[in-house]
Amino acid sequence: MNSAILVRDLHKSFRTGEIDTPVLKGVNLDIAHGEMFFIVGPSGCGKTTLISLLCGTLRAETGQLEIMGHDLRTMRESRITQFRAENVGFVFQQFNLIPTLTVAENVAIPLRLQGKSARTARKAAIAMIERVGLADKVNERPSRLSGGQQQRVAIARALVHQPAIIVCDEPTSALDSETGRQVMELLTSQPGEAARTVIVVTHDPRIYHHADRIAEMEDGIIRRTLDQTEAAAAFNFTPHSTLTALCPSSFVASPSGWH
Amino acid sequence: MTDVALQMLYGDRSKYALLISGVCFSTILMAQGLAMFFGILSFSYATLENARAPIWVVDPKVEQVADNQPLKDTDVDRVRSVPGVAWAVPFYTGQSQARVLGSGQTKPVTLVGLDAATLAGAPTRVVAGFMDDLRRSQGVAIDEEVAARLGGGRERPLHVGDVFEMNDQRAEVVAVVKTKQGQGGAAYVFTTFDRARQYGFAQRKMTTHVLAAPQSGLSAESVAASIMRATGLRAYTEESFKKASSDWMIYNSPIPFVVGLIVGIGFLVGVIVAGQTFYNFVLENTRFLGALKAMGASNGRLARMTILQASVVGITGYGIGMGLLSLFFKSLPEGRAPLLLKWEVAALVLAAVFLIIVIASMMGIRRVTRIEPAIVFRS
Repeated sequence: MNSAILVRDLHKSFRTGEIDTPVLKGVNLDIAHGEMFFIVGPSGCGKTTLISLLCGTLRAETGQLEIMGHDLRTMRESRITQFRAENVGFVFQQFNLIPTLTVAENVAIPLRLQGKSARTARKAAIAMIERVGLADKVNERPSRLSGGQQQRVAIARALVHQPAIIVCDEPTSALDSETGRQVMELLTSQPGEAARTVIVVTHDPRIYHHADRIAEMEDGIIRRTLDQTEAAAAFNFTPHSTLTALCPSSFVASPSGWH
Repeated sequence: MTDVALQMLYGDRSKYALLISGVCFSTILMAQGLAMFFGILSFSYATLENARAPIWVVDPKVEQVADNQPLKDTDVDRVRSVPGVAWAVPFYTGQSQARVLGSGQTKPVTLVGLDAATLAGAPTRVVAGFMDDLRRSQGVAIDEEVAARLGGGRERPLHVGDVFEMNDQRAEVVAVVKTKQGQGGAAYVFTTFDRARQYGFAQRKMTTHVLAAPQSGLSAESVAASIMRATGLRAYTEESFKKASSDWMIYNSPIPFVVGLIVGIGFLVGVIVAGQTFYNFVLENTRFLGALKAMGASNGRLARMTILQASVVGITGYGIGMGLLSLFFKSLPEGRAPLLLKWEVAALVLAAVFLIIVIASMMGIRRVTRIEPAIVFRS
């Protein structure tokens, strides 16, 4: 496999006073370039810790962690920060749009962090906002947008600097079904450029069908990794590829929700 | 990212207003405290600004201008005889009581006796009448504040031609002048040296100071030194006498303590209000700062953004505070309130505000650098 992300025997624990609480207990993963990879599992199983390590916002203690060929464990903090600015896009559960900035200013932030001028960044941001269908909201403040619109802005922000990896933390959990579907369609279609590696951490089974593969976590380890067919059987949904072939832009209801 | 930092600041209007108010209030407190300090100090040498002379000769024990140790009448001639002295004249200053004819009210005044021949040391800002008329019998020049005070019970302040009493002696106003208020709030009355003997409280020797000037081409400092060597008296230049008088006030009055307290409280208000509000501002933006960190903003970049925000708050608050205070001071009658907004006040307050900004920034930066970027993944 041509790995965008390679993880071997990754450990992470958190210290509270004198007590060390192991959260990740030897995680192994291979995520390919352009793959839509889901990490699922119950609360407290270590999903959030794992994506924090995968995007370099936390540091692992032992194990191997390579992202796009870079060994994150041996990188200096400043280099990791720069690495994130250049290679990672983020979609957060709570959107984390800065309320005092306009939509365009929020979307332009990753480019500004790369040192692009305000004018260049704004131009690129507006183009990306148009691609996520919010051309008329460019100068609005986030507080004037609906939850779905805010998440679309967050997706535009994650994509604007053409990162190799997009990390999504519960991207649909704060949204209603229909809006969640639209957001996932947007992430799946990846407006703009070539396919990127997308890592999604979610509790939401209604979006499982968008995954190329799903890693199921439990107690700090990956219990199993399923491809789309195996996941469809395990979680009882119709694979997205089948749906797309049958009705490319439609919404298909099922007893468990929409997919 | 400076525009992002500023918009984060300006966007939270209530917090921004609170931050500005904190620095502004602190600036006003500190500046008015320091202005009062310099104002009171300037009162200590008001005589030196109301009666100008390049050299002031006094008794060797005198440490400040209001300390009136009498000199011998012959001391004037001794000073005149010192090489380098262009002229030397006797000068009297002391306290007296002025009584308004008719109402019988009395007011304390600072009486100044000038050499009748030269009127050396006479105030230059004449509002009405002529200083030369001091040589007329019973002629006095009064400060316009005295004119207003002694007009108590009348429809208008005293004016040229009006009469009042000092030490049971009749005095006729021949000029109204503008002078600076002295210590204790007593305003100035000018007359000739000889007439001051009648108007002042009786004492054997009346000369309290000898005013002198250096010959052309000589410095006041060198001639003052010559006078001290030749006469054994103490000779000050105008500037050194001002400094000695204000130094005396600093070391012998509770003013520095009181003013220090006001300035200290102002500084604390600034640190607490601005520092705490700024810290809260950073705290409330923790999630967004965490998001910026996750997206690749370094600690250094966020620290620079924080410093910029604190600086804008500091400069704006300082500017508004000093502006408001200047306007207020301008609205006060000139030379009456013990408030002097010197450039030193502006500079000292700016330094204190800078310190407030540094403290507020440090509090903010400390918080910013401790934010884990992974915080954005916690709901």
